[in-house]
Amino acid sequence: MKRTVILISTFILIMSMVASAFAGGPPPKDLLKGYFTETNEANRSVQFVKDNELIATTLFLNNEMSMQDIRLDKKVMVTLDKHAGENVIGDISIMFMDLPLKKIGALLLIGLIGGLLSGFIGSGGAFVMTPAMMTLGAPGAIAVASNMCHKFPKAMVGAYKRYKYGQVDIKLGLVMAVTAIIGVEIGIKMQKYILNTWGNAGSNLYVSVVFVAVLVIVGLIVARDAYKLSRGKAEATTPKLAKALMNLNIPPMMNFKVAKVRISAWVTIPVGLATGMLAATIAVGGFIGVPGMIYVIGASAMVASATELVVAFIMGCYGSVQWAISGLVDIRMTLLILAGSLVGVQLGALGTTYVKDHIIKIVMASVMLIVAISRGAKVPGYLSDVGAMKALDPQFTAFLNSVSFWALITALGSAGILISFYMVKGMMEARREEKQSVLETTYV
Amino acid sequence: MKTITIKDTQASEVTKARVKVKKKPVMAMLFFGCISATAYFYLMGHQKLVTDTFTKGGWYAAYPISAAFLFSFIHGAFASNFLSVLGIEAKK
Repeated sequence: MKRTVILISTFILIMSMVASAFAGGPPPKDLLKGYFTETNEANRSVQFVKDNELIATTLFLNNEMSMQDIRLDKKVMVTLDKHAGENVIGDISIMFMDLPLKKIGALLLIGLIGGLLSGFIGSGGAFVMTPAMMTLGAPGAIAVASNMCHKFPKAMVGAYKRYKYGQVDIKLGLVMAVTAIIGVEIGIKMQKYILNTWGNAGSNLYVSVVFVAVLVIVGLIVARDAYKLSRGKAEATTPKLAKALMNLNIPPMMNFKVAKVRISAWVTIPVGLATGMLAATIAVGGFIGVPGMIYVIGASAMVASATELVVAFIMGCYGSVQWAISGLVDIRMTLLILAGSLVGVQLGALGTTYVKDHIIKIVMASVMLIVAISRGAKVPGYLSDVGAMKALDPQFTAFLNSVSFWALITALGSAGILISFYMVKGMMEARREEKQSVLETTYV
Repeated sequence: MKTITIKDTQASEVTKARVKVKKKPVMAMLFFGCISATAYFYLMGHQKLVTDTFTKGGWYAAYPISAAFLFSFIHGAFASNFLSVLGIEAKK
């Protein structure tokens, strides 16, 4: 075991030096960060001082911009429009939005429920954090970076808690993380190929179709399994596919003690690769990692969801370093979400000790299917972007966008309610049992 | 062996007495809570300085990463003790 851990850790370190992997895509490279210092109305130019530079660069406004778009007091991100000429601004975003109490409250609440979900099913929360931050007014790149940077410490605390409850298979987590990092690399290359071949609209459509297809198929499998278990029609045994794969004696064989599984590395590696590839494509690798560990590798939902936190920690750490090097993390948002999610993740983790295995599957399936609706609502828009459908009515587009956003909120809300319900129910049962046992030991 | 039937209220008193034996980490919660609150107030009180420094990129990446670790230890310890004080603990 020790040798494996050392080998895998060394591999991670080497990988981090030679490669750059990110869940949810790499940070953009063509962004300029800094302050506008002077404006010149006559030739529509502005002086811009980049981060870590003392001399200002002259940039020019594009035809659609006015001098009102230039803020001298705020740090901004600027992208240049290379087709319009040299040093012509394409887009300006204010990096740090103001945070009044209302927004702080919203971030704390989203963090709390996201953490609860993460501690309970091993993943989740991230799918709603980024859109929520963007709705509050953060630019996309800042939202992705700030979310990523809150994910790894949250996963670390969650993993530590669940390790203490004896649910984490560290070896399985490390193997999954390493292979997933390689998978992310492959996923990013595929994404780039698709972007170059089909353009931005095609790429959006591809990502959404993969997202919806994967979440619906896997979500339905998990839901069917959970339904059978909850009706008592089946026992919580190793799934058939996992059983068949365990019989494949192709060396090297890997022994996972906590998961109680002995399986060929040729089965484990593809699961990790698929998790990473999907993480790079749809940014919710955990929705594949956990079912993969359950149905292909043969771990219980309890061990799989706990082990996923180790994977999330390693991958999140890796991604956060890259985004932080690009200087895009709004630490205020990261730490505010973290304030809620550190309470939530510990609550979710201890909640798992009160519930049966299939409850984790019920929560996971519900979240996956509702999130699929959210992305599904975006597909008609993307279809019309690529010309496969006629242009949508703006009102209909606005309606679809609101369906998409509210589906995410519903997913998070329903997960919070389901987890709290099962947890309170489990706690009350445990208290009753304890009372009974006190009675027996004291008065018998 | 003789079984005695007792009232539910008596049983709950026995349970309470057993629970009372375990001391709640109130002091630890207050300690970490104070550090955490101070850190958050400092952060929100110096937003411009913090956001400017933390987003310079390159080696400055160490700031957001170590802040995330630091806050997860301080605030994580507070959250853990807070849940224990509320009586929410894992099933044994």
